[in-house]
Amino acid sequence: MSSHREAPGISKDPVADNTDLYAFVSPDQPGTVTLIANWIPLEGPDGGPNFFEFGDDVLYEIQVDNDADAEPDVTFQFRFTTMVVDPNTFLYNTGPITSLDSSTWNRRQLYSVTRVTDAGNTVLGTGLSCPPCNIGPRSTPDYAALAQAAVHSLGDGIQVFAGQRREGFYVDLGAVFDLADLRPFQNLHVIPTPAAPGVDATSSVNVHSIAIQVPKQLLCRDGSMPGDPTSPASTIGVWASASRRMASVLSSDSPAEQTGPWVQVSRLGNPLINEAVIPMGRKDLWNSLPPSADAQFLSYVQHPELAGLLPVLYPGVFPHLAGLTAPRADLVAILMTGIPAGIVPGFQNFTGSRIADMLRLNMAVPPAASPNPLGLIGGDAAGFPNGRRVADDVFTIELRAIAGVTYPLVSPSYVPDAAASLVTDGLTPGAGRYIAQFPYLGVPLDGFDVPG
Amino acid sequence: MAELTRRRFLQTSAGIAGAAAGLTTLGALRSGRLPSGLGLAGQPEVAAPASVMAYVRASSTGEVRLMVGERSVTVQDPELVRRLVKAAG
Repeated sequence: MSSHREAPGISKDPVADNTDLYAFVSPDQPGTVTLIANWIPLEGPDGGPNFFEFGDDVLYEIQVDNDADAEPDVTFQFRFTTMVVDPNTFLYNTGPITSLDSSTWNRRQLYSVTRVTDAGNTVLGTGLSCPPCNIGPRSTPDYAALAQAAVHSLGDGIQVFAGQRREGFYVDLGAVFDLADLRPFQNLHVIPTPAAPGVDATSSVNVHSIAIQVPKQLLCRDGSMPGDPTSPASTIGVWASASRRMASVLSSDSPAEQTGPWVQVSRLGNPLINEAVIPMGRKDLWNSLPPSADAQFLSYVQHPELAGLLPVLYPGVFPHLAGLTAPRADLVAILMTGIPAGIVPGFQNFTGSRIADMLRLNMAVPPAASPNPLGLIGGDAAGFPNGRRVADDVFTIELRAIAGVTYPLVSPSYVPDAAASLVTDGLTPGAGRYIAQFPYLGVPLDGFDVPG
Repeated sequence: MAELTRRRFLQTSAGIAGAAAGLTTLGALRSGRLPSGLGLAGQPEVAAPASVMAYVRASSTGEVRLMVGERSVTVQDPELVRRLVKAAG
């Protein structure tokens, strides 16, 4: 949850709260790209009797820019409809749910997928079933099979899934929000305590995912199969958003009614931007805007607050970072423009000088045989910030980048502090977080075995 | 909105705005502002949509935003705004 509860407004609207976005060349289907957008942060697996679900009144979108103008060229829209089989019971299910059409499943969701391009809108699928939430051995006895049945083929090589999955992002939330504590190094903190292993705050929670796997040609600007990493046409920019209708009328004698145009209430491209870069007073504004409006936020990337805090919170550990006052062109490249050719040998995901927070993926870079969770700074060009894979350690990558480890890419004379390449919250994702095939995020934890 | 429940206000507003929208082409709704002071008479009639919401953010501007379906339009109509405000008490 790299963007969970990250702004005052959206923290009160979890159904519309974008939490993570992934975009990567599918390791088992390298002719396709998988896009995964998550919503609803910190789902306790035992959160019944009304278990978590998507919002019928929310427009969920995954948007792709393929011609470097930070405007959407291919948008996938998802709309949900909740169905209640028997309104006269309080139960989510009245017996074991053994299939997606089990009569014992009382509250279920269907959804539609629409592709929007300049050529118009194409409905790719309707009446698609979400799986139920993973309740426990009596209610959802073979959950993995149930969820796999909810992977739908939409034709043209596209497949889609929408429903509960296990949280894939791992981070020590309790420490980092306690004055940027990093437990393995907290003995060096200005308020020191003995060093300790990191605590994975998201190891026991679920999330709701929309995952869509798409042949690369359907995303590429010229409809070709990207094969040349140096070609500008090989790179796409991706972001996800959630929108609500402009007005809502509540009534005690009729169902709530929404009307007016859709208004964006949440957005996510690169991880941790609105969470840790954009200041409090502008977070809600940021969530309401498209990436094409991001130039106004450039100074927060050029001079990130956290880069100024690290030398203060860890006295004597970051002397070089403390003296680095120039605009952070390295962070601007990583997060806002893509990395131009000539910076990292053999790699680029540059989309031009337009400032825009998008997750940029060079689709011509093949999947790594042995992925490094540190991605590009770990020598693995198939990982973040070239897109983002489900297991990429984006917290550590961005922390080290902000700490200065990437600044020599644009200023070779700069010598990073020794700590810059070591800082981490000290976590690895552990078992069960991911699966090897679509939708790649692991089977959600069940509420019987994992109380929230 | 004192002495008037929100529901009654919305019902009243929707009724008035619905009547206005009934005299306005959907094309005009889509196109945006009407010139200040321009009456709605003379526009061809169309079927009224199921519901219309009227939102007056600041009555002094003479602007009212009408929301219908997935669209909205801001109409410059001081007289309509005056009537809405009067209805709201």
